[in-house]
Amino acid sequence: MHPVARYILQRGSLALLVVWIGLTVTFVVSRLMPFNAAELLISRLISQGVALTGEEIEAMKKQLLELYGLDKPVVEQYLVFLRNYMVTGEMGPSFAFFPTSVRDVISKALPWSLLLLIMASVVSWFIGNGIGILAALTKRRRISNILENVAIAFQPIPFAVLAISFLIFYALVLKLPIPSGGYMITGSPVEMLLYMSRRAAFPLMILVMFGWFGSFVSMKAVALKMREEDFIIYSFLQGAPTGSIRYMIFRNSILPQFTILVLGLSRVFIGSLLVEYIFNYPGIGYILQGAIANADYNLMLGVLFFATIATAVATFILDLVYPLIDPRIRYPGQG
Amino acid sequence: MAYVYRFKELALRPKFLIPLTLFTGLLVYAFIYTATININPGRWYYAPPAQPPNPSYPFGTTSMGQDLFLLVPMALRNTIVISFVAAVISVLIAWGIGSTAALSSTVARSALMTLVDIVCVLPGLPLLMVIFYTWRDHLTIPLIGIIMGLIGWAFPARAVYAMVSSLRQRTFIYTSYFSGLAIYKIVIKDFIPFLLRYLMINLVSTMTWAIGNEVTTSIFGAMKMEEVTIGTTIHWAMYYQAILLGVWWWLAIPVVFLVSFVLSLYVLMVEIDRYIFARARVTWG
Repeated sequence: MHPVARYILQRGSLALLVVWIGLTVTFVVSRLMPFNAAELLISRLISQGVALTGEEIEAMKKQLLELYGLDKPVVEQYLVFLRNYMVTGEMGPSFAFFPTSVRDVISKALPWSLLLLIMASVVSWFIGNGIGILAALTKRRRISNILENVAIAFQPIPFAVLAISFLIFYALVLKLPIPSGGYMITGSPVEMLLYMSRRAAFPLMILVMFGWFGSFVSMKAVALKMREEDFIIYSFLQGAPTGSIRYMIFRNSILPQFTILVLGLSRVFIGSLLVEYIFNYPGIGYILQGAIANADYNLMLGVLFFATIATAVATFILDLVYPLIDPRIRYPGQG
Repeated sequence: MAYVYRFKELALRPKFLIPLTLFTGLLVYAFIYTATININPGRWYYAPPAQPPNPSYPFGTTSMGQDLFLLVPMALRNTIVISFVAAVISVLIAWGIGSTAALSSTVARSALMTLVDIVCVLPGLPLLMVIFYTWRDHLTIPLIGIIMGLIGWAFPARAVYAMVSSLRQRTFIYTSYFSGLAIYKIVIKDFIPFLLRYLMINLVSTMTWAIGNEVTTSIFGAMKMEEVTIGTTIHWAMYYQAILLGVWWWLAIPVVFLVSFVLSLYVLMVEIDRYIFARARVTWG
């Protein structure tokens, strides 16, 4: 088999494994709830004063009990759960956004979140690595050291705290309005993408502003170490032009960085959830907040599941790009 | 052959002394001062509401009539306990799995590393939120830490795996081995100095990770909201529109305390690490 095909197959099966384990975790969490979720949801719905007839309540109760499958043995419950989530996509009604189903609520918000998540991680990765390699190669030591100290000082601070500080600064010192607004239903895909990008620009700015430190610090460290490697010194002594030496340093330092990009996705996810909520960006984070505020377990479990799928798929996409960057995957055993 | 540690040199550096003082001060404020408080600082209206910082209320009060001077150390204490418990648990798991993977056969290694990769990719935050929200009636502060530790061990495990598997192939380990040094002596004299260093880095980085998660889940409201932590304080401040009402100290004071705690901890770690790395090498004579 062609090495690239084998590689893609490998990563694809890993992504599937991730989704399956995420589903199992979701199942376990939903079964271990210290109360009967179906009863609780029904009683909440009635107490909210939603006008329902007796039959409708009974029908919904039946649907929910079937969804949770609480009267069957655990193995069967598990299989039904897998079928509901993977095949039919039936995750029950959302109570925070009643009567929309969980699937619809999430699938509306998911593109927004994915756009933000992927752009934020890729843009901050590019910026961090770009500045990192420049800082490692430059002769202006002082500027690069100052940058490094700033990055090291910001890096350990939790993103939530940075975002809140920025919010205080933005709203109280700069006195600027926080952008809001939501879904655009109509329009061609291009128009919609343009609109979404415009809306994503502000949260993206914040995510990138505090997101590039990690890859900057590690890129600088790796590139500085790479400069001392034998093959670099060898080509320097051979009299290779500076440009090609720099390219060699860059090319070899970028490999470990790429792994960081892939594995860091789930960490960026934390940041983007929070930024979506704080700055009213209509993505998964925003929905999750609504779910929590309204005790909407269906929606919470749905978000958990979709978050798993989203990170698995995004990781898989980035994995597909890997052969373009690492020639060892294309030509194994030759280097 | 001896390990030479010059503690005096480390302790007298201002770069070490300043964060140490800050760190100790914060710990005293969070753990010893809170023990002397007779009331529950999370209660409402024991102080006049929304007072800006003034002589009788040095950090001001919240719109709910809580004195921030009493509330913040309590919150800081709980946040520190959560993050510390989480760090200990996750580091234990990470070290178990990471070093087992590095030292075992190919099959076991690839199985364990696949597991680690999967847990790395699983979105921990929504999972934590659902768990905390579901069981919030049964949660205690250490239990929150334990749950976080059970979820956040994957990244440290990767680091431990990488470190141990590179360490066991270093020349000086082979030299010791072929010179006939007993295995336990190799472990104590060659492995431990490196491992201790990474153990400290792991602990601190997992602590900051746990603090971040605590704050984020609390801001979303998926936490035991009546427990006073830095995150829940921020959540209530945002819930009661502190920014809109101009009660900025309600948000700013917890944030300042949290940032100074995290930064002093981090700088301490970096300084100790720099000291150990430079001085703890084998010296002759």
